[in-house]
Amino acid sequence: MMASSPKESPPAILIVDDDLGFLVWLGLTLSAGGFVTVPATTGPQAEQLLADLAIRINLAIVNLTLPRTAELAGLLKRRNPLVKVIAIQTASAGPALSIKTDGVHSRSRLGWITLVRKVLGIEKATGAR
Amino acid sequence: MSPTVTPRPARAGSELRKIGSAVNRYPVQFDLSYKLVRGGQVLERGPGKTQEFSQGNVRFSADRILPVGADLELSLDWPLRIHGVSPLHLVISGRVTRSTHKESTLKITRYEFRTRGGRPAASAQMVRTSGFQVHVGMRAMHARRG
Repeated sequence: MMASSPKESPPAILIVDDDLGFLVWLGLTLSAGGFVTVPATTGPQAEQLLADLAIRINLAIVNLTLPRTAELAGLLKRRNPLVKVIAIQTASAGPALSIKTDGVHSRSRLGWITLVRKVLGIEKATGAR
Repeated sequence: MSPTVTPRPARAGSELRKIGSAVNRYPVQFDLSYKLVRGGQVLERGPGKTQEFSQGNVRFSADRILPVGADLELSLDWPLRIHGVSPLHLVISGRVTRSTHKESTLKITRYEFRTRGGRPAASAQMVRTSGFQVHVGMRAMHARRG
């Protein structure tokens, strides 16, 4: 269970998806919910951003249909064995996958925040309302 | 400023999206600054606010009517603060395809996340795969366990 006290830094979440709209929407949603978010559109870009920003990630929300994102998830796991990964697929993965992505895209803001809290083991809100 | 995110992204309808004729729309209101560029020179600068992202487009309001056909660069400070500064920016380049006194639509030709200093996040070296655990919280997610 991850502790969440006011003195601690909020959990950091990496989001990797090539759908810019979804990336911005989810990133800002989770930021507004009290989390630190780092957006990226590719696995390699995510690696470089994390290196540049020197941020330790607690959770990665990753479109694993994108090239080299599985490698990214492996890298994150090696750096931090406690890191959690949520795998998503979005519309940009192609029409054949669109049905599977409906649940993700139609998720409410609160739904995403609740899910992230659950995955991170946070019982109380981290600033979300 | 604190970003304003509409609770639920409006969707054009799953049935339509299955045949590729519709797109997801993401209503997001977030401050931006724009630069109107021509021939590599900045002609105008000003503030604005995003209204909606959709496939390949961003609709936004600005402090003036922007000319259709103009090349623009939008810059958004990502809401991440490290030591009091915002080190990450989303920079979107494109061409204005529609403009009214209230808002404009930019057809996105390029976008990138830049860290402070202007360096874009470029490709990095390949890394090896290893096992990881995926948490499943909704039916749309796909679990893999390593």
